[in-house]
Amino acid sequence: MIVSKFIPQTEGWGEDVATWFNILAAFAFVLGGGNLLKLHLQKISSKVTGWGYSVIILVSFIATLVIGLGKFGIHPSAEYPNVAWSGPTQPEGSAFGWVYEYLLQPLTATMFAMLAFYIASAAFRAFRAKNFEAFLLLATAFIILLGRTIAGVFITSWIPPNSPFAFLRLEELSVYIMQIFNTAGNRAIMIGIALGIASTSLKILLGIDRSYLGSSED
Amino acid sequence: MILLQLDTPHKLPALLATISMVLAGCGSSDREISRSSGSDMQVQALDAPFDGGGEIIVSWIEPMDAIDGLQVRFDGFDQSIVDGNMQDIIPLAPTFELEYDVASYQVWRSMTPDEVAMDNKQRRIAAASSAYDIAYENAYAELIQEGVAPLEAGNQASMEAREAADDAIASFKPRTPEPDGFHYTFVTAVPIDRASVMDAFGRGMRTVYGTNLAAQPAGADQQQEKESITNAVKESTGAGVDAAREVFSTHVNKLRVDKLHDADVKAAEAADAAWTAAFKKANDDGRTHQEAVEVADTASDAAFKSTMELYSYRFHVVALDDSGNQIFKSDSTTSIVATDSFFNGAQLPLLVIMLVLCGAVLYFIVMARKGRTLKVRPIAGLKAVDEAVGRATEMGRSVLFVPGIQDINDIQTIAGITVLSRVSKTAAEYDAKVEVPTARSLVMTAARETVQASYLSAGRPDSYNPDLIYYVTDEQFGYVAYLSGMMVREKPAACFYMGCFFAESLILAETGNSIGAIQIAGTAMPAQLPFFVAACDYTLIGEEFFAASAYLSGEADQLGSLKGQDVGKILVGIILLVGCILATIYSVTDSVAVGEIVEYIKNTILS
Amino acid sequence: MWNWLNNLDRRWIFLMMFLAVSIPILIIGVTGLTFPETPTPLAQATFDALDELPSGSKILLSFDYDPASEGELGPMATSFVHQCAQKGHKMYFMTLWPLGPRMIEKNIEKVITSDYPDLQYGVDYVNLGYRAGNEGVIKVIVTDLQQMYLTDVRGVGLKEIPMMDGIRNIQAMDLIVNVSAGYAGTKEWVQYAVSAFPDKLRMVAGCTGVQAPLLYPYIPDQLIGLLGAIKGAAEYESIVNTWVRRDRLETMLGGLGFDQGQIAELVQDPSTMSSMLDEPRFADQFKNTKDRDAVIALAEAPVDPKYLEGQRRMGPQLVAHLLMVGLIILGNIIFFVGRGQGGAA
Repeated sequence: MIVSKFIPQTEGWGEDVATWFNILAAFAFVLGGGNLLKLHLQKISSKVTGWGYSVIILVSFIATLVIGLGKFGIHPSAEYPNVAWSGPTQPEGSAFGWVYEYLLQPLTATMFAMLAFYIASAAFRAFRAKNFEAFLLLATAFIILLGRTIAGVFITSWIPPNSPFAFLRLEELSVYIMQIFNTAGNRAIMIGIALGIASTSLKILLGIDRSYLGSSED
Repeated sequence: MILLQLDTPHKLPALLATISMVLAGCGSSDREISRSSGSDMQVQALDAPFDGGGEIIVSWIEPMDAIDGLQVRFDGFDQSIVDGNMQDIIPLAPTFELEYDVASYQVWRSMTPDEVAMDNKQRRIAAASSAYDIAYENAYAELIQEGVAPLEAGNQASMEAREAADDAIASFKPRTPEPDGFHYTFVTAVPIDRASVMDAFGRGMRTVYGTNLAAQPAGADQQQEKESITNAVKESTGAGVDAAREVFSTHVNKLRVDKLHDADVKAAEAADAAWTAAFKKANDDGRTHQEAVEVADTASDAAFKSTMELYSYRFHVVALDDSGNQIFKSDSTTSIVATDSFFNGAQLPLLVIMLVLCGAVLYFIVMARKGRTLKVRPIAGLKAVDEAVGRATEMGRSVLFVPGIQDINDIQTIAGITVLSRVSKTAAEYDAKVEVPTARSLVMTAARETVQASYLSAGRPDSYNPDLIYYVTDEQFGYVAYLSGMMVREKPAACFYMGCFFAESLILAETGNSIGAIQIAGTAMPAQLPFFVAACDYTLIGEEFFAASAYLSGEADQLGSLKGQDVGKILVGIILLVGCILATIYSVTDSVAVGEIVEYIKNTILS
Repeated sequence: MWNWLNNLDRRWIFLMMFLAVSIPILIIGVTGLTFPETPTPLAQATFDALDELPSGSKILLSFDYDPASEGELGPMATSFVHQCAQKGHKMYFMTLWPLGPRMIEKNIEKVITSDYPDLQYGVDYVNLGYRAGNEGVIKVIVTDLQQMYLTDVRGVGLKEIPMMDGIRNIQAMDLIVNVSAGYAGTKEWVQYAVSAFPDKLRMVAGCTGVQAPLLYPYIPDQLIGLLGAIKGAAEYESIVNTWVRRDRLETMLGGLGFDQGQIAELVQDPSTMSSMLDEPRFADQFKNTKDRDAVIALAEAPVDPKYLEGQRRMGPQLVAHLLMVGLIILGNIIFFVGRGQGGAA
């Protein structure tokens, strides 16, 4: 892939490698599915605590698999009307579309929404002005939190928008902080990460670091 | 036509007439332009080197004829005088018009046989369909006038129209090729770089003008002043014209033509086909195998050459005036083939940076092997690994290790598994239980191998239980839901989050916090770092996470790579600093040269 | 008391957060009130990018998000479609996320099918659907669309879709609109599409709050406009809603024979339409009261709630943010008091 960046004739190589990985990952999915079945069947047969959950997992796993593969309620596509399974995977009204719409979507949205609760409790616990740096962080947090809502506009609406102090309006200030300070900090971290990735990749390519393969010698 | 105005304002109506008269004689020499052939304009086409494939650079020198058309007309001063003090004349600002004939160039290239065929086909269809439309409309209108019912009229008209279309197709004549036997197609238009002509004129003029006026004797009378200004303008205009000419004659227009057909591929195909056909024919004719091969080889060579010729390109350039009339037309270049170059030169800066970075890493690895001691700053999060596992053992609870939600092709997942090898080794020594639920099957496989090896190296292969490393689901929030539920039920004493995380970071870390586990996180996702920092006991930030493997192993090789990474950081720092300074200088001084360097850094090195 | 606060069970915080979010939702749901939005330059730039293009321009809308982030990104996606549909742009929908096609379908149903039934599938909009390969898809379609997309989401060959005529790759697009919840998303579009063809491709984007800081560096060269989270969505939504109302009024008034000057004056503030139309110089222009009533109805009709999703969500966000600020302050008070007591003891 590195070579293909510089030598045009090898452009296809990188894509080929990526395709191979996808094929491999698809096979590995069978491995994962098998492992899932094995683990939960074991749990059910030995009736460990919470084996009921395993039943739910297996039932929903198999049900989704059957519904998805069977393409129930899906009409063949317009282009190949004679091929029974040629329709798209999850159009509205199909069984799989229903699973998606009424099970997957609410479930994932719920998990995502839980973030709000966790952020509140984390903020309450961790955001303490223990020293000057922490105080700065706290002040910035207030500006951003307020600047992102109408409250920020209300609080500093007394600063005329055309005056030289207009940048002190909370909504302006929050954008400024995000664009300047935040970007600067982020870039520094990203440069460090990029270098870390480069050096780690190099170590792996050269075989200096093989611990991820389970052959660490220390 | 170009209007040039020198910036400093001035004012002297009294002198205007004189100067205009003087100028009438200057600059405007003969405007005779050779409109015949393009022998003066040489066009060159080059296969772009190191382009990464298929581009051609077309370049041509602007002919002297174009410059001979250059004319300067003095339009007077742009402001009238306020007072009569002659000293104020010095920064005069005359207004000129600069005229020359060539306004733009057009580049044309020859078409391949396929393109010609396609072009003819399209034009034939267009001719037929327009003939059809016209005939239909006329016939329909006539028939309606004659009182034919509309439906019937439509039918009859369409029959007539069809005939007309057939006639049009029959009488269609393909476009005649140019005298050299090729058809040409328009590539692009290139306007003359007027800014540089104006710039040169202005600069040339100002130098002489300023010098002349400065040389004016002090206390000169009005007549003397008049003369001196007149002379100054006259001479300086001449100098400006000369400078503009200089630009014309030295300036080479360059144009990059986009990726073109792969002639060699076409030729190879034709050669193959020719070989097969010739071989078959020779065989059928009863020749020996040896002879047939020879005949086929010859045929194939010939086919290759002729196809190559057909699918290569020729270019010519046409110069146009303001109203689009052709002034010159150059001769065509000889044929040229655009081939893939071996190396893509646009990526050269990247290659250099890559070599320097990798070189630095390798250099320090070698140095470390030679026994040079390298110091690494202690990383609190990694020191705490043993403590966390130890506490889990004491409490008789398990250790949870989450290797992120990306697949094994993500470098963060690999870095996470590296840490896992250490965690599981410590756990094996303490006889603690490490549970690794994964979101990808391949990660599960890799993690199993790693943990097994760790147990082996800790001398307890019998304690290794592969069932503790299992696959859950690829679905992000499904995985998170499983993990949170499991954490609340089983209450692991230590939680490690090492890998690539997205929105789930805080959910995991907060749940872990609520069950009172020691939590150590490591990720290179900048957006998730704040969440981990807020909710975990220790966090490996970005590069610390990648350094973990080296740090934990303590091997000289690995520590050397860290040192090499630092060199990379210094390099980036230097580039940043230089770039910032240059960009600042550019924005303050507006210097063209600095601007070019900034652009080069931005567009070439950094892209 | 201090002790209780110091060891505050986080379930109390969860309860407070639940109330802080649910009460405003209920209030807004019942009253239909929303907070006014003052558009920031970024939201305005996003709107302008689409507005400046002449009607009938080709817009590629890549909706790279899934149900998990729909709450945050759905409103802006709806507004993008709303603006394009009203402006008469040609919309090419696609997605890099496996769950994205439903997001596209949803917005088509919500905006185009219900409010712009005149728009024809295949002529005014087309749904190309999902293709696997993340940034790989982008890399290919910037130079060759056919290599990735032979059919649209319904399985119809692209050659049979009128609006795909002459589109070899996405460089033919006048603007790319991307709504993204992460990888692959805006960053990849910028890196592999806009940065690769800076002269030909322009782009605006909408993203989640977490992503926004990572995308600011691309403004304004690679990204003309950026909508960050629900706040950006709400601002953009309010601009679009105001403009849509004005645009429709302009068309209607133009059809009734008002001249440009009068139209400009009337649509300046549609909420005052009925009093303005009482003035004789306007009132005389109407041939019958039905037309007049129609104009007033259009000018003063409440905005359809589905186009207020973003602004409605700002209410819960405001209260939740205030709660967070309050909690942080409370946490610090506890911290300092605790430290003071500790020091004394």
